[in-house]
Amino acid sequence: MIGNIHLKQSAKGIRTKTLLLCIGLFVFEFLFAILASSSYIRADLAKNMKETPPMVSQMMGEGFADAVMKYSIMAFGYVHPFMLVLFILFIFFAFSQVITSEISSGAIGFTLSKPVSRNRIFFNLWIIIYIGLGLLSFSTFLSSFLGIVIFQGGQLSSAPFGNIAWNLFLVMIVVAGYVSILAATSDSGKILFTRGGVILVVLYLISMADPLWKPLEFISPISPFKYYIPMNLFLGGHVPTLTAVLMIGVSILMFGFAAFLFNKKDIAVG
Amino acid sequence: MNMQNIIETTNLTKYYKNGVVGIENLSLTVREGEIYGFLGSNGAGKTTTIRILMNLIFQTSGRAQIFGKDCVKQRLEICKDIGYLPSAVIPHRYMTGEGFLDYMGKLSGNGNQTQRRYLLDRFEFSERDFKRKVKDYSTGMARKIGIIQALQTKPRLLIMDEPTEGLDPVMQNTFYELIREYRDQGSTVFLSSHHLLEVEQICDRAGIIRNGHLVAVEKINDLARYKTRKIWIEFKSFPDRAELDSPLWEIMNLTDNSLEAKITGDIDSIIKMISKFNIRDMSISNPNLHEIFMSYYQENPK
Repeated sequence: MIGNIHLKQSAKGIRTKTLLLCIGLFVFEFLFAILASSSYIRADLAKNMKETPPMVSQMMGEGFADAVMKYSIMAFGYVHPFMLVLFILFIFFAFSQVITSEISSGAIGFTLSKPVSRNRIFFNLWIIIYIGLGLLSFSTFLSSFLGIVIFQGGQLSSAPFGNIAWNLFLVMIVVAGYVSILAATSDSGKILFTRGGVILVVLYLISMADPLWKPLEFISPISPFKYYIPMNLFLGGHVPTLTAVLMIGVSILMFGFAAFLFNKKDIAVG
Repeated sequence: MNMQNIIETTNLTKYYKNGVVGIENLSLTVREGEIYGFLGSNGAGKTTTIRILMNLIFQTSGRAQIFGKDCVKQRLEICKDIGYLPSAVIPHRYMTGEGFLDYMGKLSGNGNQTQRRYLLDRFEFSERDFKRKVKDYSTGMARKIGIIQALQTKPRLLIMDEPTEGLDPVMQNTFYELIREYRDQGSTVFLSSHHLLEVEQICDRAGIIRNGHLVAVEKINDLARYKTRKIWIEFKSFPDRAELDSPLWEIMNLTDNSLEAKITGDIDSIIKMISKFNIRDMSISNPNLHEIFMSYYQENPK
């Protein structure tokens, strides 16, 4: 009962920020879809794309394949590596602020003076962050799909866009797992931002450099970015169920470990 | 544990990661129905002790109990009956004052609207201010809403970390009156302060903490004996040196035209004595904490 009151209040605290993030991402993705569908790109690509891969045509139809190929080449071929980092860092900063405002600011002093357990506080954060990231993923799905439908036209299937949003969600919850561990051990938002930013960039670089340098193969599985496969998904692939289950499991374990650390932590505020 | 003891710590010790001593072997008891002042300068260990009691930080060794229950293992049970005011300002900046009190009241599972209204009136909180966001509050207003938050559930125990910081003198007096009312209605109060006069004014007993050690626990009346005041006089014409020697004071400093002395006698006699001098200016000052500690150590050398 009291834990639910805390959950409701935490959700209220994050509501506006999540909404703004959703709108921001929606607009961003929508503009991206316009860019991908611009007449210049269409004309340029038309010269080079005489044929659609038969498997893709079979699965999705000619119009779809044409549209997504153009979109994917532009969006994820050229700009994707930079966009992804910005995207993830953006969400990391937004959500880590939510976590720190709950557990690393003076608010925690007030909250813990009431009969609410530290575990419950962390559980509530977990729920809120999962819902927030779910909404963000849905927002990117909706905007990219609508953008392509409106500006590209043709018979489109929403499945690849849905798969990408699902893939994005899985990556984000693992990133959130990392953030939760850092938040549980950092004494301030500033420390969390610095450490978290560096760690995420390193993880990203590992995933990028993995194909170039063999020894990284052993360490690259810990990078959530390694599991972000939008190109495959555009071409009709799926996130393997085992990978999805593992990513959810790892994320939950990370939150659990963070809760354990948070239970042992000295809270020097409040 | 004695049933009369609401708070009891035994050899409570906290060492921080960098080796800094927070508190060391601190043993204290706070009895039911008393106002206990925890007196110490900044960094003495007051907040560390309070945070251990509230289970915000963990002791390195020793034991802390509230209502006879362990502060670590039985925190949730203990918190139901505690009103807590941290030293930090209210961080719930996006909430209105009303929203904040509602939220904290609900978390306590004991929102008492009548009591809240009474407290808002006592602290002269207008309806308009009550509906404003906390981020728009002045330091004093944020402090008042924090105090109301702690008091609104009429808890059995109040733990307050420097509660009057940021309050104007009128509101400080209101706070003192309220604390006494709560005490009279059966609540126990544990508050930290670095103002001797504040502790003297409202507390029944006081513990003096210095460098992480509890150096004294005194009844407030006993504390007065350490309260050696000082007198400073500037003369228009300096009197004979012999006239200044008196058992009523202990001269500390003499210049061409002024005197500084520790008062050891009755104020009335001193006033009568100095009335015969030709004085330009004078002041009598209360001792600061350091001087009280010095007085204490002079009287209680280890």
